[in-house]
Amino acid sequence: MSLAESHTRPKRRVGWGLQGLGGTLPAVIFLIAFFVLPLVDNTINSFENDGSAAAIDNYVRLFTDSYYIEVIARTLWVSLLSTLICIVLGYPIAYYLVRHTEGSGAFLIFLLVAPLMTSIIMRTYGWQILLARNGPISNWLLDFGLIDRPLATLRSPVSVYFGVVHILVPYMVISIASVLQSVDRRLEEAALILGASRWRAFWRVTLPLSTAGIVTGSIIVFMLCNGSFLTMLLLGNGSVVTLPLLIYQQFILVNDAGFAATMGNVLLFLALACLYLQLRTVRGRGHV
Amino acid sequence: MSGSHSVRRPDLGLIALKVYVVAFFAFLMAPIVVVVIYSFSDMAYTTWPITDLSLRWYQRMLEYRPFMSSLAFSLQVAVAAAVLSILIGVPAALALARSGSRYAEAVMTFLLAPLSMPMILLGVALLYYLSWMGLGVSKLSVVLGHTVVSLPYIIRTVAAVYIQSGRSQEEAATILGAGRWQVFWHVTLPMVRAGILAGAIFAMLISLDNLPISFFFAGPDTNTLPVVMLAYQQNQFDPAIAAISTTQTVIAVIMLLIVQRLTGLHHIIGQKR
Amino acid sequence: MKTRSLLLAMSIVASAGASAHAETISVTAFGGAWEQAFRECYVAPYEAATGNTAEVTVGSPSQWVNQIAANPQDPPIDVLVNLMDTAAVAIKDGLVDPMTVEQVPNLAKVPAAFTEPLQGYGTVINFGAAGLGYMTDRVPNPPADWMAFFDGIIAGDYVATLPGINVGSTTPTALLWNLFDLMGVPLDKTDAVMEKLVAMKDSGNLVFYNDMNQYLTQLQSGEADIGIYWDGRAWTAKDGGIDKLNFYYPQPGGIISPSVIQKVKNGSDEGWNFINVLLSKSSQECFSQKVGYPVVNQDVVYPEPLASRVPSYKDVRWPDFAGISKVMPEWVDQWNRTVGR
Repeated sequence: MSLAESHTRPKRRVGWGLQGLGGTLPAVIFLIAFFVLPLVDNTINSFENDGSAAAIDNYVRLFTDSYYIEVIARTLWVSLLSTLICIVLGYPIAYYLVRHTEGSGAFLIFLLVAPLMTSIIMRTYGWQILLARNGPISNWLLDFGLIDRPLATLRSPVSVYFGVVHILVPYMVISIASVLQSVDRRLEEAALILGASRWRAFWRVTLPLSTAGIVTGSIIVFMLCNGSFLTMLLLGNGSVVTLPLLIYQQFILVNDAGFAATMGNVLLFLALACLYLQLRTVRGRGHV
Repeated sequence: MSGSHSVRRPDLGLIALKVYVVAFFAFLMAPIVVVVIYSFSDMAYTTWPITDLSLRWYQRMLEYRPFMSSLAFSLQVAVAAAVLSILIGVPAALALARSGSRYAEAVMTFLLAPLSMPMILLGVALLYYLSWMGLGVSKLSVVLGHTVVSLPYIIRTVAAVYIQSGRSQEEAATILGAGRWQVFWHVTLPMVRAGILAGAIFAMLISLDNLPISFFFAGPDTNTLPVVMLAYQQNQFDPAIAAISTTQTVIAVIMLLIVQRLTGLHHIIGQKR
Repeated sequence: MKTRSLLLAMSIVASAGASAHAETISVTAFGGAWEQAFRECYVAPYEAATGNTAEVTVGSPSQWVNQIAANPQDPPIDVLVNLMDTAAVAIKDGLVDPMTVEQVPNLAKVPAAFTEPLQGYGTVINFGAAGLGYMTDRVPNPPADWMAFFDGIIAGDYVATLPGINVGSTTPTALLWNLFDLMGVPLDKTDAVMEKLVAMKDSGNLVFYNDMNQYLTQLQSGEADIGIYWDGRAWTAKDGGIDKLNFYYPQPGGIISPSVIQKVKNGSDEGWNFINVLLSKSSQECFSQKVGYPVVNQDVVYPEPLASRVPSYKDVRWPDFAGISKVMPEWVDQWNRTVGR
C-alpha cells in the first residue's frame, strides 16, 4: 500500500475515529474564549471610547493613505522574503540532521534551539557588536582585502534580515526535520536503484514527501515575522518600518488604543487570508 | 544515470553539505557566543572588547532577587502552558489531519491565528478582558495568555507529522482487533511523538521568551524573567543581563537533556526505528 | 511587679494593634540599581516605621497604568512610580488622587515647580537631564551649544546618534521639543523641524538608537562619536569603565527628565504614608547617593562628585509637557513619513 494511495483514499472510519472535527472542539472553544472575545471586546471598546464614527475613520485612514498601504505591503513583503530565505537556508540543515547524523543529532538540535533561548535583546546586542562599522566582521573583511571601506551593515535593512532569519530559521529546520524523519527512506533508495540520479531522486521523491514540513515551517515563520517588531526596532537603523512597529508606537507614544486595535485587526485579517490561501493551495496536493 | 556517477557525486555533495552545515551553525551561534563571552566580563559596564574574565556578574545575578524568583515563575508558566496546549491541541491536530471536512482549512487557519497577532495587542486585550472576568493580574491569567500563543505550535507540528504518517499502521491494528483506545495509545500516539515533542519545545521556548503578554500581567508574584530583564536593562546595562541570558540558555539545554532522556530527542529528526 | 505586668500588657496590646493594622501595600519601581535603591532608601524605612509591608513590582509605566485602568475599583497597585507622559494619561483617565500637604506633610519641602506640571496629582521624586555624551578621543572640541551640535552633523564634523522616535517617552522632549524650542517654532508646525532632521539624516552623519543601551554600544563600537543622552546614565557608564566618555549640558541648558510618584485612586490610604516617608530628607538623600540623580526635597545636601555633577532644577529647561502630549500623534505621524523612511 503506497503512501500516495493512502492519501487519496476516500474517508473511512478507521483508527481512533477522529475523522470528524469533534476533536477540535476544546481548542476552538478555548481560543474563542481567550483569543477572539478579548479582541472583539477590545475593538468594541475602541468604538465606544472614540465614538464609532472616529473608529470607522481609523479603517478609512489605513486603507486610503498611501503611507499606510506602503507599510502594509512592506510588512507582508518582509515576512514573505524572510520565509523564502528560511526555506532555502533551513532545508539542507533539516535534511542533514535527518539523514547524516548518527550520534550527533541531539547535539545539533541543542545548538539549533540555543538562539531561541537567549533573550531577544541580547541576541540583537550580539549582532550590533558583530556587524558594527569597526566590528569583527567588517575588520576581518578589510584585512583580507575583500572590501575597501568599513561595512555600514547596521544602517541597512540587511541587518534586519540577519536578525529575523537568525531567530526564525530554527523553527523552519525543526518543522521540516520532524516531517522528513517519517518519510520512508526506502522510497528514495528505490528511485536510486531504478536509475534516478541522486538530485532527481531528491527532487521527485524526497522533496514532495516533505512538503507538509515546509508548509508548517513557512506558516510559523511567516506569521511570527508578521507579528514581530523588536528586531525591526533595534536593527536596521529604523529603515524597516512594519505594521507591528506602528502598533507599538501607538502604545508607548500616542496612547491611541483605538488606532492600535484597528491596525492589529487589519494585520490579523491579512495574515489569515495569506494563511488560508496557502492551506488551500497545498490541500489540492494532499496536505492540510 | 551511470554507476560511476552515483558513487562519485554523493561524496562531493555530502562534503558541500557538511561545509554548509558548519557555516550555518557558525551563523547561528555567533551572536550567542558574544553574549556568553560578555557574561564573563570583569568590567562594570558594557564595554567591548572585554579585557579580563570574572564570575562577578553571575554572583550579582544570584543576589538580585527578582531574577531568581521570576526565573522560577517563568519555568512554571512554560511547563503549564505546554501541558495545557498538548491536552487541547493534540486532539485538534489529529482530527484536522484526517478530517475530510471541507471546513478543515478554515478551522486550521483559525487555530493558527494567534501566531500572527502582534502580542502586545493581545496582551492588552487579555488584561482588560480577564480583569473583567475577575481574574485580573494573576498566575492563572499568565498561563492562559501563554497557552493562547503556544497552542498553534503543538497543533501544527502534530498535524504535520500525522499527515505524513499514513493510515496503514492504524488500519492494521484495527484489523487485528485492537480497540480505539488501544490503537490511539499504542499506534497513533507513538506515531505523532516527534510532533508533540517538537511542538512542546516550541511552546516552552516561546513562553520563556514571551515579553508582550507577560508584561501586562506582571505583579509581585507574577513577574516573568523577560519582564524583569527588560526592567533591569532599561536602567542598568551591565553584564548581569548577559549572565542571566546565558543561564537561561543553559537551563534550556538541561530541559532538552531531560526530554532527551525521557523520550529521545532524536524522534524529532528520527534516527529510523 | 505591677509596672512589669503593665508594660507586658501594653506591649501585647501594642503588638496586637500593630498586627491588626499591619497592611501590605503594592508599590512599583523601575528595575536594576534604581529598584535596589528604592527598596533600601524608601521601602525599608517605611516598613520599619509602620510595621507594614510594601511589595515592589518592577516594570514599566505603560504596563502599570493599563493594569490600574483594567481594575479601577480594586487596583492591583497602591503607589505608582511613573514618567511624565504616562502620568498625564493617569490624570486624564482619573486613575490617581490629588496630593496635598495634609496627606503628605513632607510635600511642604518640595518646590512647587515639581508638582505644578502634574496639576497636584502627584510629585516629581527625582530627575535627570538630557545633554551630550561624546568620546573624548574622537571629538576633541565638542560644540558648546545645541544648535551648533545639530549643524555640526550636517557639516560632517562627527557622526552623531540621536534617540529614535521609538525609544519612548523621552525622545519627544530631549530631541523634538528641544529643536522646536531652539528654532522658535510653535509645537504644531512640524515641517521646519522635520526638514532639519531629514537634512541631518541625509548628510550620512546621523544614526538613531532605539534602545537606551544601544547608544553606549554605538559609541563604543565606532558607529557614532557623539549624541544626546541623559546625565545619570552617562556618568554611571563612565564610572563603570567607559573612560573616554564625557558628558555636558550644551547652551542654553539640559532638558529635564523627571520620575514621578502618584497615589492610585481606590488604592490603600497607607500609600500616603509611604509617599511621605519617601519624600523625607533622609530617604531622599540615601536615594540620590545610591543612583546619582538629583532629588526634590530642598533640604537634601549632595556630597562630591555628585554635588558638582547634578544640575539645579532652575538651570535645566522644562519642556511644555502638556503641549507636547497634545501634538504627540501629529509628531509621530510626521516623523514616520519623513525621518522614518
